[in-house]
Amino acid sequence: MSNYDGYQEEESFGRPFLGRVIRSEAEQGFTTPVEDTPGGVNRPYLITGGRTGGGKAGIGIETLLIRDPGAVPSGSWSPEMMMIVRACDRAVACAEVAARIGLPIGVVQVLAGDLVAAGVLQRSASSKSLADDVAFIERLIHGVSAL
Amino acid sequence: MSLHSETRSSGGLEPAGGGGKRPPIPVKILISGGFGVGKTTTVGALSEIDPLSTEAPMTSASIGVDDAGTGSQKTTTTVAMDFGRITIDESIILYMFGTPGQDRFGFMWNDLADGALGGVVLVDPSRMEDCFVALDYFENIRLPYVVAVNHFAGRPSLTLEQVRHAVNVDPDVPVVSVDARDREQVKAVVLTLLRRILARAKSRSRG
Repeated sequence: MSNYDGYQEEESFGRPFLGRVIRSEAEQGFTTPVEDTPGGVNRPYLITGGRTGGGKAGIGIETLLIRDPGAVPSGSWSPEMMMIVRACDRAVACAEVAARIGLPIGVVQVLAGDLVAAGVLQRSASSKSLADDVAFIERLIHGVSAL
Repeated sequence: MSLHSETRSSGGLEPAGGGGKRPPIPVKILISGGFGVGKTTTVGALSEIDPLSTEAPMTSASIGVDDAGTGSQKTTTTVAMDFGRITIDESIILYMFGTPGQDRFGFMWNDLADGALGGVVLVDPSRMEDCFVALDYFENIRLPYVVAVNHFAGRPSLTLEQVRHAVNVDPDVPVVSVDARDREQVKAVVLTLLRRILARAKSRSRG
């Protein structure tokens, strides 16, 4: 099962990419530079009208989504949107919604972004700004220790 | 990205702004490493739910090099990403994402790493080079990480010092040993990572 995809040309124990950017895009076959800010990869989805990525909508795979109690189902929702809204009765991460309803994460990110914009779903804040928050990290350590 | 500056040094607690109660804050850590190194086992050891799996379609470039191995007639290849959830308290939920460690899944990594607090790189001592891609990626994006050597029963084992030498990480990167099936040991690895994140946060807040 060892499958190194191109490692053959590299010396096997030399940390092939150390100190440089991983692979050219062409070699990798994907369209987002690894060192770039995330913006989703161009993979058209029928369900999303060709739109992709949580980058623009700001919905990350771990972003928590919860249905707004006052939201009323609308006839304009696609079946997929309906499934997403139903899955968000409690705060649940985007990836978890995708896993539970069987849609690719990328699709859920886009549609959840639409539903947040429409006020149907509420989304959590990101923890990104908390990486330097000493009090927050200490709380996290305390919480994990207590598991 | 609509990040909320009011979360700064509030211990992560958000003032209830405008409408109702905001959802808790999700914290994401990545569990990475080569194929079969025990990522899902590690996630499952600590998760309060059975690890869930979600599929991301793979790029066409990777189709044809994937080890389907079953002679199946699949025309689109997908990659499964397993993850688990740990509720810390009423306002923090920790998600552990097992991230495919192979080069050809690079298209997923930005989404995975965006907003992640840190990462664990799992190492199989008998296939050390499988973790290089993950190591390099974490170093490139300056994500705090720890190296955890998963000791499989009956495989040749190396000392942590030998592993550290072989994977060539900075002296301040923790290299620890773990049995991925053991909840307490996985918890200890996560705590090692969190302490590393804390040390960095402290050094930054001192300027």
